[in-house]
Amino acid sequence: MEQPEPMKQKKIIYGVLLLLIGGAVLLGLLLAGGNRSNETVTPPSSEPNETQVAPSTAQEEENSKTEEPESTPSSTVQERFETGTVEIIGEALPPDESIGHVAPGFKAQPNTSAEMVEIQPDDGTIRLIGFFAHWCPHCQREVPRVAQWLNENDLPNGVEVIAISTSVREGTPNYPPSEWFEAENWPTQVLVDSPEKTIAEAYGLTGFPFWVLVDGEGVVVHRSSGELTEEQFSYLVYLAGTLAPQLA
Amino acid sequence: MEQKAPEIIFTLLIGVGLISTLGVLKFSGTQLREEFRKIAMFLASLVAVGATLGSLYFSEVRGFLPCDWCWYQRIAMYPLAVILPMATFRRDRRIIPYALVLTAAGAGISIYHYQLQAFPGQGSSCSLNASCTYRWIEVFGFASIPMLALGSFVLIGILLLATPRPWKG
Repeated sequence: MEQPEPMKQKKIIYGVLLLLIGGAVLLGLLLAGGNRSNETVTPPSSEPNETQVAPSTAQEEENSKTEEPESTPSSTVQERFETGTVEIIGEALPPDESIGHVAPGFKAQPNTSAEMVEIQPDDGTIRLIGFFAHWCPHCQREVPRVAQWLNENDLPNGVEVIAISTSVREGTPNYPPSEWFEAENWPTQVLVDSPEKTIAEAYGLTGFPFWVLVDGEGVVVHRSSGELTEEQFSYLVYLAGTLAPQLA
Repeated sequence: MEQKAPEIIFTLLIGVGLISTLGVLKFSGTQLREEFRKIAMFLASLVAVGATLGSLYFSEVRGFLPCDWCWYQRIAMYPLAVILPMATFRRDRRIIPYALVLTAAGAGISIYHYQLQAFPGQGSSCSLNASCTYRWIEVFGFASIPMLALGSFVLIGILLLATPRPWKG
């Protein structure tokens, strides 16, 4: 075997390899769409506690990342919050079992106000608490389905449904969640979790969507992760209704 | 969805890599083919390292969150990025059967993940990480990240299989 031939072949191979790589890079740069200012997918940043969303153009959206004072309020602009401060009152539920445990109380903000509300599971109200992540396709299907059910049906006396928006990540699909809930006509209060998902962890959340049914004394009666069919959800509501003290 | 330069480049590299590798192996003269086969493991290690760095670029620079299935593909690809360059440097082909097992596993996972993206109705809940059905990129209308991974695994597999025998001793 002659020395020069294999060397030549090797050079051809490496040469072509370099050409192909260079060509791919060039072609990629040429074909690329989008310039920097239009970038819609951003690395998840450690969010400030509040994000104020005004009706925004892309420019304003960039500005609202730094904590700016509220833009000039018009009567139709509502303050929105995607995450907030949370305080847990009580012991967290373990992720692997919950039935019979007492759910912790907590203080959190609704997504429309900076004022915290306090949820005390043992205050006599039966609560069906739904945890939703805006980016999760299963939540994206669950929210309109449940919203429609709630808008068309009455809840039994003493039963309350609460939505908790958690695991919020800017730059992922369907952000901001507050707009999503409004677009789906969600009829109940939406509370926002902290960026560290404090309430979700305190309730032992393992997947999205996540439902917890807590009776009037704060005891967990049902807990599940995953989408519910309309039938399953209405059964859950029926179950909640049976937890109400019976009239003497 | 606008595609940026890096994902287009990655897609082109994989596509061109696959086409030219198959072209050389099938259609070129004996000399060229033999020389190519001699450096096939080196090329495979380039692909593995490139794919590893590419996946880290997507998650660490672009902020695309890896979902569960992404992690399983990484589990198959990242060790290849370590052992293939090592084996190339040591001229040790005995690694190839082991690497092929990882490659095949990775390809299988990528196929599953790709079809999850294509038919998102499966399953009923999202894990705490990102959703596995979300297409962070979509180059030329079809190339998502698991597809790039699949292309990488296939290319590595072809290159490893093209490495001259014997693989023992």
